[in-house]
Amino acid sequence: MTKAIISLVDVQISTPNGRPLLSHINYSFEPGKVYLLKGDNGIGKTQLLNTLAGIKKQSHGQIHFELTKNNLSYLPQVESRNFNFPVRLIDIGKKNTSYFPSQLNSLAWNKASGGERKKSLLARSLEDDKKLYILDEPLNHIDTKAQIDVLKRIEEHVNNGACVIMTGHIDITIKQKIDIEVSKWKS
Amino acid sequence: MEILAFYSLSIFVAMIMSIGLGLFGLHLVGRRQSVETLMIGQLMQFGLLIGALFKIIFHLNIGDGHDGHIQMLFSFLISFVFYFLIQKLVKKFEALKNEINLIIIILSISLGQIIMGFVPQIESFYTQSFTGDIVTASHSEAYFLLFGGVLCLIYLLKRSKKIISDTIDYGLYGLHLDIKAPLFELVLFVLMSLSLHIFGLLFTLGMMLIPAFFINSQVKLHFKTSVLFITFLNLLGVLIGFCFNILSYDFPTSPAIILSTLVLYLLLSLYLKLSVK
Repeated sequence: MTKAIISLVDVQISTPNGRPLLSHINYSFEPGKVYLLKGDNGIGKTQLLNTLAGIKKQSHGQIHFELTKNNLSYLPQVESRNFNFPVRLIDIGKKNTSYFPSQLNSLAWNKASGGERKKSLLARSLEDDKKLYILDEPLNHIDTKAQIDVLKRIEEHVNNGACVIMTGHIDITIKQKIDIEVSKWKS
Repeated sequence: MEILAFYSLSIFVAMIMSIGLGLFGLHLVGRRQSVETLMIGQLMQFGLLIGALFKIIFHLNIGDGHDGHIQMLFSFLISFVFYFLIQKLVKKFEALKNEINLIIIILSISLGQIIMGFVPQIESFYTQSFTGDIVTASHSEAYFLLFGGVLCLIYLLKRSKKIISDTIDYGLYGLHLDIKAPLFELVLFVLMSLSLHIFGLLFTLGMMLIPAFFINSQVKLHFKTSVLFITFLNLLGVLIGFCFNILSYDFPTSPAIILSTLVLYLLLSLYLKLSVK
């Protein structure tokens, strides 16, 4: 059996005002797999990702990390946020890819569309080699061609032994994919 | 011209400090930390007051106000310790971050007023910590500030890529993932406490936040161009402010510098707006 990269033992996740969202989560995430968290809006998928990324603390239970934060890449949903700092999309994406073409390089964040911003964020998250990728709705706001390219990149990482935990409402076809219905942990 | 030459060292130090403050401000506004910057400034001012109180209690020489670095040390330590304690509170109530910072500002002003009520001798320190006293800075103080200011600029230049990347993470993600940059905060505190001690709260905050606001609101500027604008306009702002002060002593230096800088950035915005059309 492969050693888990993150293990959750009786974890409970609550809203900032203390209302429990998800409870009794006992689960282990292993390398070389894609975990697709599914569920209705507001069920707690993003909160769960934030907890896995170490940004929010769980209200109960234990999380065992078998990696350092330097080996973690996180993509939150921030494409609708304004950002007042004089940088271009290439400064954010760092590197051009098939889904983040050089035509977008000189665009300022506050002038770019949601999809263009998302592509630069994806390049920022996916182009470094990490052991764990936590991606919140990575396929939202981008066109079909970019979606295919992003999925290819995810598959490459998984084939290289990385673990990917992502949310999404689109069904994806990656061999190592495991679907997780988040509603089973609903409080 | 003679007077300008007499104050040349003070002017030069103010220029260097203003560039450092402006560049730090650019990152702080990008990181959505403007209110935090105000709070740090206010805590530093409160620290200066506590330093002065300490000197009175222990009968140390309170003399001309520039005689010791005890206030500066107090200012640095008090703000640094409180800042990290407040960060813990902010982590717990993240959505109320600005309100927490504003309450700390109000509290430190109130405490300052209470202390002044009991020890009226330190009132002059309080006033001085607002507007600064640039022209009366001694040579040793000016060189000390120059050394500190240059070191801070070297840090910004050397770690530029990492600092920009951290600003993107803070500004966009609003999280502390993979950000191990206490050095940025440490250098910022050193620069601010140096500046506040001689140039005052108005100059320190003004030179940080005014350029950052105007530059960051311009979508067409690149980072390197922004740095050039800040360097040039902050230098010019300091020079014009000093000239006003020399022409008429009724013009207090720091407010004159702040107003000149504001006008320069307004002109830049106007120029950039017109050049688009």
